[in-house]
Amino acid sequence: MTRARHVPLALALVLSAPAAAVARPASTGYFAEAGFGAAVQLGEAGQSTAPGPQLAVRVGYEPWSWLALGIQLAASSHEATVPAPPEGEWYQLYRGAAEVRLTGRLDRLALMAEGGLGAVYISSNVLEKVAILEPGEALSLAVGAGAGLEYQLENRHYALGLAGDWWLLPAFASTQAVEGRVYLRYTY
Amino acid sequence: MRTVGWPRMARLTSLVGAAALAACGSDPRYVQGPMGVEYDPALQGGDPAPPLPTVTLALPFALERDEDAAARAALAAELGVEVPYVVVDDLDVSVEWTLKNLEDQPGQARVHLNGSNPFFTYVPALLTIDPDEPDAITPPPLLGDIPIDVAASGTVDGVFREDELREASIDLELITRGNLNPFAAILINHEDLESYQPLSPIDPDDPEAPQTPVGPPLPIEAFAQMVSVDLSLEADRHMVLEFAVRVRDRRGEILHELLDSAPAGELTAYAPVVYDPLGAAAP
Repeated sequence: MTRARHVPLALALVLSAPAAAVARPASTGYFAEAGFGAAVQLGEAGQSTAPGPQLAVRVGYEPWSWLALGIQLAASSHEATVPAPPEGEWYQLYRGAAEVRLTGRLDRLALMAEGGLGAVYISSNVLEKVAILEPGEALSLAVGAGAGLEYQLENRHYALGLAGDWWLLPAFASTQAVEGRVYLRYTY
Repeated sequence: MRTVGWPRMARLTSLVGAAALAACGSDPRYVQGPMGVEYDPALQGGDPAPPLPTVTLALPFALERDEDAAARAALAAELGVEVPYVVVDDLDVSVEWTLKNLEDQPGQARVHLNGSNPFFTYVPALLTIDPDEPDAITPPPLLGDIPIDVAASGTVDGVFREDELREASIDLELITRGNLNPFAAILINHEDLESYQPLSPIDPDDPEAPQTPVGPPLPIEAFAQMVSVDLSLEADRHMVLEFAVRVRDRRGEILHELLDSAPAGELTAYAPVVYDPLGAAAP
């Protein structure tokens, strides 16, 4: 009975807690981020390419907690599933891009949206066979956008995140790709 | 703290960028076979049997730059032998193939790989001693000639690996410029060969006569890379062989950027001589 009498009080304390909370401290300034995940190509390119692992690093500057400017370098590896031969061959996509990120923080959680513009290099011409690449073509403009959720650790320098991005590669037969990644971000 | 952070990140970015560029150095390029090699037993009868159906694919080499030609001439003068534009360790080449059985009965096939370097073309049939004899033996192809079972209406994939193509290029040089017996050249592994003393040509009137050393030794630095591959097929069913050549250009300047789509005038043209020491080729 005694325990039951305390339940309303406990509920009141819990419900009132968010109102009293302040955003968890987080650094601003220069940052570095490393993430890994998977990349999947869509449409015709998806018919000739298997999903593959991806690594990405980002560095940049965050003047305010809601805005970050940076660059990213990413690499993903994919098996080409073109009609044989060749059979079981892999190729890599290397991307470099400039990015803008907008972030809205709610206590320890943050929602972010990002957009980027850069270039992609493909390591092989194996997709020429299915006309995704033209002869001699290895570079494409890359335009992308994405969003994610970030968790600020108690240490103000560190955050963990989960994000997804969409990319368009106009020169590679307008290939589109989606990516998902988990990342660790360090802000100085 | 912030004043030292940015240089650290710049170094990290540079390292990642350098690693990415290094990874691009010898990226593979694929050149598709111009057509399939089709073998139909119904069309291969006759006495003598017609030659095996063969498709040739010439590797699309860019024109040699002046500075490379000068360096090559200097090396040739130093070694005392002719040095080709593309030598064995300039490229890593492999051939990937797919064999399709067009009949609803299981069958067996053999894929033969031969080819040319800038100097010679290897045609095993021309090296048959006493071809009119019933037990005449023809030298093997540079690669292949292994029985492959193919299920009814089935498909089999295979590859001639980079190390095998390197060995084939060496064997072709040993047979042609070195005048080594083709059986010895092909059946012995020359992976670690550093140089070879060329021999006098086989005497067509006395093929068993001993050969004597001729000229300076041929160092591995002067061994020519195969510049074209010939894929042949023989089978007991109607089959088609499709293939693609995978090339990694270690120098990064030999393959034409557009590969086989390049204008003919921008590609290195070769006119190798058919290696025919026995004079067996039709006049």
